[in-house]
Amino acid sequence: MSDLRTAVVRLDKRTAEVVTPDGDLRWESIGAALNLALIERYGAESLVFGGGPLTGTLAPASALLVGSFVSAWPARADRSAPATSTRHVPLLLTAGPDFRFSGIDHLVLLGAAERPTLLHIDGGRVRFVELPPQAADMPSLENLLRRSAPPFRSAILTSPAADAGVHFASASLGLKGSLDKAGLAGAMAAKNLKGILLGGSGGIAFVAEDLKRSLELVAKLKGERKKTGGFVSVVEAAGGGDCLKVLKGAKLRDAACFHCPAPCMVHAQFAGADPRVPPGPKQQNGLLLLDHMGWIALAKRRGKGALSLLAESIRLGLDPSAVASLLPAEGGKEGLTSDFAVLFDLAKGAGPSPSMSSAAADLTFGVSPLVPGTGEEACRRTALAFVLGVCPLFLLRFPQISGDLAAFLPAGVEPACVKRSAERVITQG
Amino acid sequence: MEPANNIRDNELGIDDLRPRRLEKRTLMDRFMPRRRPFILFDPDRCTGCGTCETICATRNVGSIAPASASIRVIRNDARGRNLAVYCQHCRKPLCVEACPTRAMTRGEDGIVRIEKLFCTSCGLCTAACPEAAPLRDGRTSEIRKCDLCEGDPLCVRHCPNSALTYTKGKAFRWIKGVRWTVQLISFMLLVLVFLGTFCYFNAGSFGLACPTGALQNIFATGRVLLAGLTSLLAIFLLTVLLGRFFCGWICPFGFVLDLVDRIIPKKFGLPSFLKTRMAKYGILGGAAAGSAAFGFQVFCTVCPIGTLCRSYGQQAMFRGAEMAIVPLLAGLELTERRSWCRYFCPVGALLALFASLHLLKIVIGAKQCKKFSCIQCAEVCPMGIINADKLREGLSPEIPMTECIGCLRCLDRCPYGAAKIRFRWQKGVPGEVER
Repeated sequence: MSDLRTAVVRLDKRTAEVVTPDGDLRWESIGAALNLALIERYGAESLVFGGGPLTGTLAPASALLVGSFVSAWPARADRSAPATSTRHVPLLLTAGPDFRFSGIDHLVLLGAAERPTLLHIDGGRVRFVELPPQAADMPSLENLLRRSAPPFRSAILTSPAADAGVHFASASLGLKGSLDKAGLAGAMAAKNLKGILLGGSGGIAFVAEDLKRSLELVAKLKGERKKTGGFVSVVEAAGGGDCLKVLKGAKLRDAACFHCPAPCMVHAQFAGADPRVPPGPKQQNGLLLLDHMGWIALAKRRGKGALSLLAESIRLGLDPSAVASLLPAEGGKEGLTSDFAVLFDLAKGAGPSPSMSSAAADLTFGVSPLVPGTGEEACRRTALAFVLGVCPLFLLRFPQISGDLAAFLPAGVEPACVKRSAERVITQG
Repeated sequence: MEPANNIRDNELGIDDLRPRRLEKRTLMDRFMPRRRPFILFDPDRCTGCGTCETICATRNVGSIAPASASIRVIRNDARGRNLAVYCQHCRKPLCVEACPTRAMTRGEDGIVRIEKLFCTSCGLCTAACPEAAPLRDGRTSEIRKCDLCEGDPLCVRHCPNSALTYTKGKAFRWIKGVRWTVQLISFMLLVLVFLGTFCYFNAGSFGLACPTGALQNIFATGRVLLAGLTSLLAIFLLTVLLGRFFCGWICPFGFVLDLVDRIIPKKFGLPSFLKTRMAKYGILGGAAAGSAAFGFQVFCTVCPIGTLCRSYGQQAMFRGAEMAIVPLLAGLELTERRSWCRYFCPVGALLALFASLHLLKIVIGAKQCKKFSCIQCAEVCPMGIINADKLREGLSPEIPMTECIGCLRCLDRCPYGAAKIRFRWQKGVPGEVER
C-alpha cells in the first residue's frame, strides 16, 4: 500500500503541507471512508478529495476520485445545498489516477481563501497558482488555464454559476462535465476555490502479477459487451430506453474512463442546434455523454434539443438533471432560444431556484444515484466502489468482477478493512 | 589564427566520435523489401481509456506512470476522436537525421531506437518528427520512444478495444508483383523479341507507330499517315480510359529506371525551375518544331525508349553508340526517382495531354488515412505527386492525373486502404480528417 500521503491545505493562510496519516487512520479506513475519517479529524468545514487503494492501478475501471464534504457551511450557507449531511461526489475519467500520479492520495482543504484560488498538484506538492482573468464559462476557463497555468493532465473546475450561489452548480472535469449532483461545486465555491489542476507526471508502483490479472480480466469482459452496448444498457437501466431515439442522426463514439475495458459513455457529435450561432454549412457540436441521468432528464423534457441543452449546461457548469426539472414543461415559441435564455438566467442565479437539486434529493448515503432504483445490493456495491476507487457504474454492471478486484489490493489492505470501510460509508452517509 | 567558428582542426566532432552508420541494404532488400509489422491505430475503436499509456509506462519505468509512456493518447474533447501518438519507425526517419549525438539509430530490424547513453534529451528528434513521436517524460524530462517492445508490443496486447493492432497492414501488396511481371514481359517483348516494333509496327496493311514519333512525322513530312493517325487515336483512347498506364506498366525505359532506382542512391538535386514539370512539354514542342525544320524525326535519334528497342539485334541502327543515351539518362536517377519521366520525357508529355481528359482518378481519403505521419503513399510514389504536407495536415491531397503514371504503388502500400480508384465524376473524398 502507498504511504497515503495526505496534503493538508489551509486556503485562508495559503499554506500546504503533506502528511502521512498515523496508524489508526491509515489501516482502519480506505477510500471514501478515509475521507470521512479525515473530515472527522479536520472538522466539518473541510473538503476532502481522495481515491481508493485501487485508483490508478491496473485494476479495470480504477478511475474513481471521491470528493467528500459536509454540505452545510456555517459561514456561507447560501452557497451550498441546504440539507446538512455528508456528500460524496464521484469524479471519473482520468481525475482519480491523475490525482494519485500527482503524488498525493488525499487532499484536505481547510478554511476559505480570501481571493479566488487555484491549486496545482504535482510531484507530491501543492502550489497556489495565479488565477487567469475571469472566464465566462467552462471552455474559456479551461482554455485560459491551458495557456497560462503549469501543465496539467486533469482539472476539477467550478463555474461562475457556483460563484453566483446556484445550488445546482456542477463541478466539471475540464470540458467534459461530471457527475457532481450533490453540490461539490458549491462546496468549492464556498472556499473560494476555482479549481484543482492535476499534473499527473508521476506514477505509482505495481506488482508484476497485476499485468497478467488485468489482461485476463479484460479478456473476460470483452465478450460481454458490444459496441455502444455499454451506453445503451446503462440508459435502459436508468429508464431512458425511449430517449435513445433522440440520438438518431448523431455520430456516436464509445468513450471510457481510465483503464476501463467496458465503456459506458459515448461522445455524441450532432448537427448544430444552437440558435445563437448563425446557420452555416457545417455547424457540428460534440459532447461527452458522461451524465446518463442528466441526459435522460433533458431528453424526456425536450427531446431532440436535449443534446444542445446538455452541452450548454456543461458549458455553464450546471447540473443537467436540475436544469431539466427547472425548464418550462413546454418549449417556448422560440424553441431552444427561450430554453437557452432560461439556462443563462439559471447560471446567473437569477432564475427559479429550488431548495436543492432534484437529483440531490434522492441521495443514498450521500451519493447521488448513478442509475435510479438502486436496491440494497446496488447500494452496497456503490459503497464498495467508493472505498476501492473503482467506477461504481462498472461494478453495478459487472458484479461478477468484484471478487477479482480483491487480487489487485495492495498488501496491508485486508478484506475486513474493505468491508468495514464500505459499512462506514453507508452508515455515516 | 582561430577559425571563425572556434572549432580547431584537431578537435573531434561528432562524426569522429560516433560516425553515422550507413544503412546496409542487400540487393534482395532493394528489390524485395521485407514487410515489417507495425502498430496500426484505429481511432474509431479508441475509447481514450489510456490503457496503452499505462501499460507502456510499466515497461519503460517499472511503475504506472502514463506521463512516462512512449505512446500518448490525445483526446479531442470537442470531436470525441482520439489520436495515438507513437513512433511509426519510418523507413527514412527524420529523428535519426536530426539527432546531434547520433543517439537515434534505425536497426537492421527496422526499429528506430534511442541509445540512452548518448541521448542528451535536447528534443531535436521530437521537433524533427512529423508526429512528434519521441515523447518527453513528464517526470524526468528524458526522451522516450516506442521500440515495439522488441516485437511484441504490450500496448497492443492490452488494448481492451483492439484499437491498436500489430500488423503488416491491409495493403494489397500483390500489385507490385503483377506490375513487375508485366513490366518485365513488356521489356522482353519490346526490346528482345519484337525488335523496333515500339517505334513502328506493321502487319499487312495495318500499321501502328509511336505517338510521339507519329507526331514528329506529321511535322517532318507535312503528311498524315494512317498508321500515325490510328496510333494517336488508339493511344488517346487508352490514355483517357486508363491514364498514363503506358509509363507505369509498359514503357521499357521506365522499367530500366525502376531497376536503376533500386541500385543507385539519390545524391544530387535538380534546379527548381524544373519542378513546374513544364520542360517536357517544351521538349515535345521542340521535337515537333525541330522535325518540321530538319525534315526528320529529331527526337527519335535520342529517344531512350526507341534506343532500347532499336539498338539490339538486326534492326539496330547504331549498334552500341546510340545505347550511350540509356545510361546517360538513367544517371538522372541520381537526382530523383523517374526524373526523366517527371521532367523531360516528351512521350510522357503527349500522354499527359491526353490524360487531362482522364476518366479515372486516384484519391487518398484523409478520413481513411488514419495516421498523418505514415505518408507511405507519398514515399513510394515514383512521380512525387502526392503532397505529404497535405497528408500531415489531415487533408486529402489532390493527385494530378496528368502526372500520375498509374503504377498503383500508393494503393499497394497504404496500410489503411485510403488510396482508391474512382471515376472522375465521383464525389471526392472528405477533405478534412476529423482530429
